[in-house]
Amino acid sequence: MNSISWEFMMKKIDLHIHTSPTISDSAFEFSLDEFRRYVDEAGLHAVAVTNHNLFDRAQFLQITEYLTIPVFPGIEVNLEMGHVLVIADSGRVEEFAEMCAELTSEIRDPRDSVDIGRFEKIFRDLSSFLIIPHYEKKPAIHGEALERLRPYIAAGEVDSEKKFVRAIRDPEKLTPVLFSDTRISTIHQKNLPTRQTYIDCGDLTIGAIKESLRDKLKVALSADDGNELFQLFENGQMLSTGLNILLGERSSGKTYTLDRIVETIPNTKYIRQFSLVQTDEDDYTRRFNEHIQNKRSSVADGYLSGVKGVLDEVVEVDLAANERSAQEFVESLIKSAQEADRRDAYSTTALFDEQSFPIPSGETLKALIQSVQQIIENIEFRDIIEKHVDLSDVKQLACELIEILWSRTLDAKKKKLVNGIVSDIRDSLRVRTSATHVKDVDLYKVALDRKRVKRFEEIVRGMQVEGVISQDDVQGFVVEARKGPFTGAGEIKAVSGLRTAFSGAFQKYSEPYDYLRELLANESLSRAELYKYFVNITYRILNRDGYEVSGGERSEFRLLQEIKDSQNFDVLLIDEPESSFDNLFLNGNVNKLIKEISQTMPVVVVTHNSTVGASIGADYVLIAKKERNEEGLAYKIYSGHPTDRKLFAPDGTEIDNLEHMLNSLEAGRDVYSKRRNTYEAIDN
Amino acid sequence: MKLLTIDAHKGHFLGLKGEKQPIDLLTKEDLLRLVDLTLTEADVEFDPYDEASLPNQAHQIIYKNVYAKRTHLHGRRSEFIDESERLFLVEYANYRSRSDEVA
Repeated sequence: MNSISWEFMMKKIDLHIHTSPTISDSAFEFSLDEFRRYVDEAGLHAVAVTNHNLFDRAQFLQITEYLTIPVFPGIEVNLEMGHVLVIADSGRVEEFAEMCAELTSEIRDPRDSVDIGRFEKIFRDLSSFLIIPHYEKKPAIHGEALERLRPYIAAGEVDSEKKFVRAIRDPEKLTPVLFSDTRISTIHQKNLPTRQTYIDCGDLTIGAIKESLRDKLKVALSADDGNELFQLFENGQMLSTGLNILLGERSSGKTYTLDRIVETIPNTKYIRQFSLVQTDEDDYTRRFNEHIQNKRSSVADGYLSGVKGVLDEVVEVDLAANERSAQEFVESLIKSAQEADRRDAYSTTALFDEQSFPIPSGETLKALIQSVQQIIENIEFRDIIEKHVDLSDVKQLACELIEILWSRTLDAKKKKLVNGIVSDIRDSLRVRTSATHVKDVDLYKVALDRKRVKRFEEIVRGMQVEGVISQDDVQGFVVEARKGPFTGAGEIKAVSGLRTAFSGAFQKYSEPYDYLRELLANESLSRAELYKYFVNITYRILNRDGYEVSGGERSEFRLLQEIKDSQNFDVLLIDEPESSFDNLFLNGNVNKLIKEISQTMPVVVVTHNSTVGASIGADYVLIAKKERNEEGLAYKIYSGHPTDRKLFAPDGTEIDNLEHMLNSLEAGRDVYSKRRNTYEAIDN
Repeated sequence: MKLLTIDAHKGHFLGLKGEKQPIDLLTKEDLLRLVDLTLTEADVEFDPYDEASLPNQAHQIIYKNVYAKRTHLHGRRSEFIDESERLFLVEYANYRSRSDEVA
């Protein structure tokens, strides 16, 4: 298909536009003139008016009279947890207005919504509308509501070019549409919206648009270049959905262009020039470690989960209090024996010195039942389980254990009741006599607590022995997590991220239980975080040779990580990576990773470097130029495909591609020729 | 079956072998046994607490407390037992019936 016929058929539409400030919007004043300016300057072929849960019939009719393109009546509905656009044919304004009025009366608060059943009742025959749910855009329609709507959905709305391209490529996904979702207000917008969708469609009716949207081949981000390019700025400047390089001499507007992209596309990852270069060694090391620490907190948490479990039990143990009550018990016992001859009617009753029943927790048995339950319910390993055990036996085992649990629970309950009675009677007897009573103490618990503390100390000391916890390969480097003791209070403070001092507690660091008591006494520390203050987890990055990385290698690692992280953003901008890295590294790892990322999202690399600029295999070239004209200085961008002879600015002016590439990347044709000759001479 | 009696100005409880024991000898194990009987036996009885018939104040204290709790517990017998059997009840019913089927 040649480009002329393609453009001839492609219609640019924006079917998500707000013209009334509803309870879901912040205040704005609608302007008909601004609407017309947007339609004219963006070159739109059709629009829809879609206010939040509202259709203003009078305003709509005014708009249709004022604009010369088809305008469809629509509404953006709060449906369950998400939003959906419902757009009607222009001939159904009256009927549509009635339906919308019914909906409006039910949405009295921005958080109100209708459920799918109510939605179907209000709009009745859904197949007669164009239904476009928020799809990869918040708040999205999910679950049952999406499934029930599915037969009527023509397309799903997305909020970035990246998501648009991903949905186009994935056969499982709905046809994507990208709309401005703009508020047309009296405030003159300097940058008009650039998010619209092109469709290959004859007459612009709801039926025809629906038909086109059903075929992903008939939907695109640009008029001429399908989904390879999309409109970046309102002046018509395009950008590739893949890899773009932005070239230009110093002060030609490259960084300015990147800043404008950041303004235009909200979810942008921008790796600024020199941002990864090491300046102050100590500061950089600290920030680098923090970065790694945050990235890999799951490694530390996984390792420390052992301490966490034991700590939860030991936190409740107060050895000093236990010691005191054991002491009191012994003393009261001796005293009571010495006073045997002075005993009266109260102190001679059996309940006077009666001890309480110890109450077992039953947790061990419950855990055992749950384990047995897992064997019975597990599906993934069902075959191998059945190979070794008969499940009906295991079920019987579970039943018997549950019966034991019931009987023990009942027993514990009875004992608690008895303990209550014993305690009441004992107290009443004791207030009436001067005889010494033997203190009530659970010696079993006292002994068990000591054992618990001992075990806790063994575990903590074991974990404090220096060693490697894990080694993970990350982009050619090895991230090594190490454990060891803290060597000073400052290290613990850094881990806590708090202002509180640890120096007092740290004096007892070598005695884990005493140290724990000190930590517990500090009220500014959260109990849930205490487990982090026993073992120091540190990270080292090792290079291919197994040595700790140098400053430069550390920056390389950061760059690769930053590029990798950009997957969660809608566009990636990198400003002059060559300012921080050598050519071998750029040509190998960086170019490869950038190329990979650009398969899934738009990437813009600003560079002067021929290793990046000429070797990376860009999909689109942009050259920034500062030009003098009648009005003074003007910044312009010329762009095109790398193999095009000419590059064009949005205003139609052109420059020679090769000459400007050589100027930007090789310091001009002459220098390039000389250098090539020099290399050839050496080679020969 | 009478668990608590007042006899000859003294409180008594039902001993392990069915004999009457003076209430000042009551231990926690005895109490537990009496709780068990109250929960499981249909026809348990107690002589009502009567201060005038119990001149010994230690007996008064013990008898009064035990009697009050026992009366309260007797009224809530089934609730007391049912609550304990709520744990894993669904799983129990499930496995019991399924293992019965297999058997």
